[in-house]
Amino acid sequence: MKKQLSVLMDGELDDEESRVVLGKLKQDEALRGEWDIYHMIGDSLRQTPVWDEGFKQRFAERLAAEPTVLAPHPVRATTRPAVNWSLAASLAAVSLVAWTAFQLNQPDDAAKQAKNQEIASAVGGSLPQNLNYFLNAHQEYSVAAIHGASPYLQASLERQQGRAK
Amino acid sequence: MRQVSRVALLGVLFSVLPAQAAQPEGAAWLRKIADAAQQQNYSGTYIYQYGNRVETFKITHLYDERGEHEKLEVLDDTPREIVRNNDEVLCFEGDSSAVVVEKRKFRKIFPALLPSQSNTLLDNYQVRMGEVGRVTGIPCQNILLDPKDSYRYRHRLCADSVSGMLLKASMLNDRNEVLAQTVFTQLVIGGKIDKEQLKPKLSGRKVVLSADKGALSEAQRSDPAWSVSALPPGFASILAVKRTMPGKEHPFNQLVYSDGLATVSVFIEPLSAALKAVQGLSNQGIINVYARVVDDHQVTVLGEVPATTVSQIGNAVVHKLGGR
Amino acid sequence: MGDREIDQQLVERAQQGDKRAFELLVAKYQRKLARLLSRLIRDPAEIEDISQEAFIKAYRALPSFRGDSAFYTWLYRIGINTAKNFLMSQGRRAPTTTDFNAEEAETFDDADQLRDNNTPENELMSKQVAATVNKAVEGLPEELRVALTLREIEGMSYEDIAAMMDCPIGTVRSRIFRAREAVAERLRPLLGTGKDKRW
Repeated sequence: MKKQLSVLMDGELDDEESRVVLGKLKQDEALRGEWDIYHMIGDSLRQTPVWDEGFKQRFAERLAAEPTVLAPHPVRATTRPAVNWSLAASLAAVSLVAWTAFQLNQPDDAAKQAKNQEIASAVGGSLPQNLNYFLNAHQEYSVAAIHGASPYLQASLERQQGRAK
Repeated sequence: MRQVSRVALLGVLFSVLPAQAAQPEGAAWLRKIADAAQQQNYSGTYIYQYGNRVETFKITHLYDERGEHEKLEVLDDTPREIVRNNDEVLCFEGDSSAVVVEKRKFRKIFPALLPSQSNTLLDNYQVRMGEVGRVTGIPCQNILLDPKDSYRYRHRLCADSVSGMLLKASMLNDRNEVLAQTVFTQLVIGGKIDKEQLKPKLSGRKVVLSADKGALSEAQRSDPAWSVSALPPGFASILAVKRTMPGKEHPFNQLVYSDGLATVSVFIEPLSAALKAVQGLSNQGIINVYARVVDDHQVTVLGEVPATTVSQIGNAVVHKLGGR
Repeated sequence: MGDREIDQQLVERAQQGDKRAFELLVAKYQRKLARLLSRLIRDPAEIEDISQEAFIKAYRALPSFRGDSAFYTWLYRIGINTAKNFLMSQGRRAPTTTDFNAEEAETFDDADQLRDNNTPENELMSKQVAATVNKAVEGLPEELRVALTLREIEGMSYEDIAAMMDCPIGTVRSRIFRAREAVAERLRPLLGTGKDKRW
C-alpha cells in the first residue's frame, strides 16, 4: 500500500487504484503519516523550509472545530423521496443553478443523464412556490438586498406566472 | 445607485450610527450617503448587475416639506412602475388592456429592529476610505466596508463628495470579485423635479385594483420551539415571525438575523405530501441557500452572505420538543 | 490519475464532509504556501497564523470551488489575500510585486529566507530536517538517488525518468518508493510519531 501511495502522489497511478488508495487514506492513520512524510521529503529537497513544528496538530484542532462543509447532494430519506431542486431567478426566465457542477462521483454517464433530465423537467414545470415566497419575505428585511426593486416586483412576477398557467 | 427599498432602509440604518464612531471619517460618510438618498432631488438611470444579468431602472426622487416622493421604473420586459410617497407604495404593472395597481406597505422596519445594533455594523466591518473614482462623469469617493471575517461579503460604495449621493455600490467576495453591482449610468443631482414626472403612465388604460393576493399575511410571533443555537460572529436576531402564504394550510416560521448590513433568513415549514424534503447548498444570484431537514420540517436558510454562513446557521437550527 | 485529479478527488471528498481529505491537502501544500507567504511576511509565527487562516478560509469556501482552476492556484490566491488583509490591518504595506503567479512563486530562492528567520527554534528544526534529508539522500545507492532527484527536483514523469535511466517504468516506481522509504526511516525518529510529539 505504501508503494501505491508513492506512485499515487506522483500522479502515476491508474484511476481505479487511485480511488482505492484515497479510500484507504481516509481510514488508515499510519498511511496518512506516510503521505505527510513523503511530501515533506519532496519539499525539503526543493528547499522549501520545513519550519512547521506543530503546524499539523494545531491545524487539525482548528479544523475539528470548524462546522463540516457539505456540498449539495440529494437527501436519501427513508420515508420520503428527495427531489433535486432548481431555483428560479427572481425576474424573467428560469435559470439552472450550478447544481450539475456539484454532482459528485457519479458512477456512470447514464446516471448523470437521468439526473439532468430530472432537473430539466423540474425547470419545465411549475416554479417552486415556496422559495419565491421566501425570497420575497427575506428581501423585505434585507438592507443589502441589491435586488432591482423587489420585494415589490416579486409579487408581480408571481401574478404574471399565475396568469401564464 | 438607489432603489426604493434599499436606500431608504440604508438611510434609517445608517442614521442610528453613534456620533462617536470608532472610524469617524468612514462613519461620517455613511451618514452623508444615507441623508443624500432621502433629502436630495435627483433623476437618473441605473443598472443592477449580478452574474450575467443586467436590469435597468429609472428613478426620479423629490424631497419637499411633505417628505419623499419617488417613482421607480423597470425598463426591461414588462413595464412596471413603483410610486412611493413616504411609506405608501403603489405598484403599477400592465399590458395594453389593463393596469393592475397594488398597494404595498413600505416596511419601516429598521428603527424598530436595531436599537441594540447601532454599533453592529462597525463591529463587523472595517470602514476605510478608498481611492477617488469617477462614475457617469462625476468624481466620487470610494468607501470600503471590509468584513472582519469570512462570514460576510465586502461592500464598496462610491459617493459624490459634494452631495453625498451614492453613485455605485458593489458587493464583493473574498477574492475581490464583484458579485453584484448597482451603478448610475446617467444622473442629474439637485434641481427642480416636476411632479408630473412622478406620476405613473396610466392614461387610456383600465385600472384594476389588486386584492393584494401576493402579499404575505401580517406577521405574528414565531414558534419559540425553533431557534438557532449558535450564530456566526456578529449576527444577532432581528425578527422572529410566523406567517402564512396565500393558499397554504400551514404557516411558516421566519427567523431573521443581521450583522448590521448582511441579512440571513431562516424559514421553517412542516414537510407534507405536498412538500418534499430537499437538502444541500445552492445559490440564486448573490443569495446563498442552504436546506436541511430537522424533525420533519424543511429548514431553508438564505441570505446575501457566503455559503459558509448559511450552512453554519442551518446546521445550528434546533427544535426544542416538549415543554408545551 | 494525475496530480490535479488527485487534488480534485480530495476536494470532492472534503466537500462531502470528509475533513481528513482536506487535511491531506493541507499536508501537501502547507510548506509551499508558507514559502509563498514568506515573500510578504517575515515573522514565522505570523506566517503560520496566516497559513492556518488561509487554509481555514479555503475549507469554508470549498462549496464554491468548482475545479475550474487547480486547487493550489485557488489556495494561493486565498493565501495572498489573507496576507494582504493582515498587512493592511496592521497598517503595513505589502511589497509591490505581490501579483505574481504560482509558477513564479515556485522559483523563488528561499535560502535567504532561512537566514532571516528570527526564531531560533524554527530555524533549528528546519535545518535539522534539511540536514537529515540531505544526508539520507547522499547515502542512497545511486540509482535510487537519481530516480528520486529526477522526480522531486526536476519534476519529471515516470515515463521520462524511465527513458533517461534506460529502465522499465515499473523499476522507476520501485526505485522512487525505496528511496522515499529510506529517507523516511531517517526522518521518523526526528519527527516522532508518538502522541506526545507535536508532529
